[in-house]
Amino acid sequence: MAKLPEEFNLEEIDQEPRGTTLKREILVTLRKNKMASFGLIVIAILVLVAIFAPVIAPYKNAVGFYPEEILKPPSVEHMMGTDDLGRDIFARIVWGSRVSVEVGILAVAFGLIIGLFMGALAGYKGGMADTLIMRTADVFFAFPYILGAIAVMTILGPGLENVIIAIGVLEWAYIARLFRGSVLATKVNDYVEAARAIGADDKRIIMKHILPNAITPVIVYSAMSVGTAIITEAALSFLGVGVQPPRPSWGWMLSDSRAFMSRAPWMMYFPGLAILVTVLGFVLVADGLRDMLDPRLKGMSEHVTRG
Amino acid sequence: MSRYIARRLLQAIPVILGVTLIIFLLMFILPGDPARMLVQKGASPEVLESIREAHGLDKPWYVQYGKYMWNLLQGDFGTSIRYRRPVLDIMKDHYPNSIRLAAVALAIEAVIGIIAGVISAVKRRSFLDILVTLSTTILVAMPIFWFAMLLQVVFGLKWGILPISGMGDGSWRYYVLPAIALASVHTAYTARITRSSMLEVINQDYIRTARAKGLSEKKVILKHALRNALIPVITIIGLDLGGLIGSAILTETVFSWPGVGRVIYLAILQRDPPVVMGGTLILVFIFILLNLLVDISYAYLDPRIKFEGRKVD
Amino acid sequence: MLLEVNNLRTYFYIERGVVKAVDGVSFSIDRGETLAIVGESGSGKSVTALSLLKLIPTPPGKILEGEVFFEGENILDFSEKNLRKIRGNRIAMIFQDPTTSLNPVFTIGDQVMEAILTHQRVPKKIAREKTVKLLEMVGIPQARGRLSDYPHQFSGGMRQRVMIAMALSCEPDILIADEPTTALDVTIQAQILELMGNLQKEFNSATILITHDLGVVAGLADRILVMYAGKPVEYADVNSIYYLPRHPYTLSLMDSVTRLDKSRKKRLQSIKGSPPSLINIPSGCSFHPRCKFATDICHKEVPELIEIKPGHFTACHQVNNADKG
Repeated sequence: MAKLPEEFNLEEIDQEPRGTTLKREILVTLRKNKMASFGLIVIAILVLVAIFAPVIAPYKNAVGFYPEEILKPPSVEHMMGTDDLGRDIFARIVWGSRVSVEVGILAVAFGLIIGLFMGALAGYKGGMADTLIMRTADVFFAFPYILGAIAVMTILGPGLENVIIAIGVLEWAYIARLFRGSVLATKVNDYVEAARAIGADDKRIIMKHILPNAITPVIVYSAMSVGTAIITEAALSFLGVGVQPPRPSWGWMLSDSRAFMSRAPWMMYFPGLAILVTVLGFVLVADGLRDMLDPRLKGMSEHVTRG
Repeated sequence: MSRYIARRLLQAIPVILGVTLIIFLLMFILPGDPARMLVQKGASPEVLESIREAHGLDKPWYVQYGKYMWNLLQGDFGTSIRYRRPVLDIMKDHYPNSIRLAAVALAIEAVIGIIAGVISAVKRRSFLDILVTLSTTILVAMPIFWFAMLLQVVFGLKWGILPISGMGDGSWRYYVLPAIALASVHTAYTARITRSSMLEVINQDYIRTARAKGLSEKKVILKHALRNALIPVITIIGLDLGGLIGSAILTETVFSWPGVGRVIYLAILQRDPPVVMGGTLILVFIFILLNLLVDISYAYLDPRIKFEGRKVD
Repeated sequence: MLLEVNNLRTYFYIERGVVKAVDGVSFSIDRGETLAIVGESGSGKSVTALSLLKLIPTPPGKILEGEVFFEGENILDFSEKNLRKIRGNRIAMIFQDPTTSLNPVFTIGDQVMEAILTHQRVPKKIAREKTVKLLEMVGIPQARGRLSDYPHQFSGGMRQRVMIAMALSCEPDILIADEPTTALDVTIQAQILELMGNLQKEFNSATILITHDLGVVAGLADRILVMYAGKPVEYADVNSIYYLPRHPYTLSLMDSVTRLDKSRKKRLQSIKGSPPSLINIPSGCSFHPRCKFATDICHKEVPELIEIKPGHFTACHQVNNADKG
């Protein structure tokens, strides 16, 4: 395949005439984004399961000790089997989804609040603020992700809130770097100059003109980050520095299952599958969002956002 | 060239200072009483007081930080509470194992990731492309420690063809599963990036020039396209080294691999912060050094990048 | 005839429909001749050039129909392997943008040498010497010393000279130059065109020059093919096109050319309207929406390319009717 000659730009051709384009675009997007729709469904199910956990499975089945139910394989009674303490794995997965949802959303929200503010400040103000913020971010990039989270957790001690803080503390730097770059690119646009010329103040320029245009890559990144945060929580809990028992967490369940890999492999199958499918949901939605929101990257769903 | 390296090393200094400051703050300032970390539980207040004095913990934080840095410069990363051994010595015992494993994983990541990405891009929309795209998407979402456990169950417990724990006599068979697990997610990233980079490069004018010259398709792809497509791939593999180091903790834990990751994991369980922090710090140093190497390697791949570190146009 | 192209049709099948990029183009060229293919952006002139060497990306492109006889053999029927023996060797190409047409990661010495080594069984050393000679010939100062330089170390004009050296390295019978000077400064343009002219005389080769600018081809071309929306609209020798253009599109193209032989008082005109969407080509004569002479028949029927004078072809209802009546 050779490149099409300049004079023959298929993209340009594809953009006109306008009337039919929009309708087509939506159809094409929907068709292309079967995967993204699948991701959305996964996320919706996850959130519903987390909200309606008490309706779906009694909490008492997810915790405690049931000597007569120990290590039962999947059956009608226990559709995913039981673990070494006789707890129902299905119930634990249902209740564990709450940890994943909370960590995923709150950690990324935490990272977003700091990261967007810092990124906007660095990108818009430039100068000392920029240097200071970005050099600080560099320090955070120097920590391999999980290692950084482990370091923070070692000191803060285990617990759900601390997991959220640890991930948020690492996330902010990535979001700030991304948003700064995107603010810098947006800042030089004519409409921003125009807004400044008519006397809009900084706050108004940032909120009205820069934010809506610069936020796109951050949205895509955030969708991906929720997935990353969920995996990180599971990893931290797996290593024993994350969420503490008795609270059911998928990472802990995998950690528990290691001792029973040959006797009760179902103990590891289901929590792992839960993590995989959940994270896959966010990855697919992030891919879809990128295709839809970022025209520059249109059709390049093979691009990796995480960085 | 040497000037560039010197400059990059200088640039790394503030980052290293920042990293050590954070580690230091986490270890000694933030929560609780560091003296308590250094003694057994239930020590008397007098003992604590003497320990504080002995370690200079009664001094202001910047004095303590200065001392900490001074120790670091002399290779003193602290002392393990549990083993009563210098952290650096413990790390030295385990580093070679980790580096060997990571090197094998990196090789898998680079070779398989790039080959899969190139095939996927060149045979776009073919069965192979769909297969690569699908499996890389799933692998990207895969919790690496679970993947590691699945490998153990299938290859070790079910089929019994490969060892699933430790490194035994150090034969290659012990490396297979941990290396595959460690490489898995990163191979998927490499394949995805190679694919998109390749698709972009294939559309460049110079590829058309190469074809118009009468070169074979093999030469067009493997020489003209790949060399250009690899530039962002190397960037990603470089950036991903941190991920590889992080994943090593999980992989080594699952496979009981006697490496640094496992040491850090055990130190977490044994509540031995100096080992966790010292080990982390050493890994961060290595990470920074590797990034420097990656940056230097660009210049060989892309002549447009001068050692000033930016593109000249 | 060295090269004879008959009824070439190249279509692109994209999501929104079929793009008839080249729709029935014929021409021929002999040694020592220069043919100019002229048209606006999107007229299909570059796709025509790429089709000759089967360099069309497939999919979405496809050469549906047509023959390209090179020394009597239809090269569109050639296997990929035999085609490669033609590409760069017997028929070479120069592209529009020299800044993107050279591979940024290889030295220019390597890139020119590669062309030689691909087609000729010569030792590397000889290929290197030949490369130096070629670079000197196209006017690169201190050619030997610059072999190991990378494209980004050359200016645009110099890069185009490298492209020309590369294209000429195997002494091709036909040189296809696709807008070779569009991306260059005006002064450099003249130099490059002069260079191409001189080299053509030296090698007694044929040149197909593709351009949107009729002014460029005045002193170079022997014959001119004017294309519009994938179709040939006028095909004649250079003097007929310049002094007796018949097709309204050619007329308007002539108006938009800065001519030294006419008074400068007349304002430089650009053609009204924009090139048609290649997806929704207007009915009948595709030029009718922009044509001031258009009548009913132009909306309905596609005009045929008719020889109105020996060697002068045009596709226009108005011209044809006028000549008939």
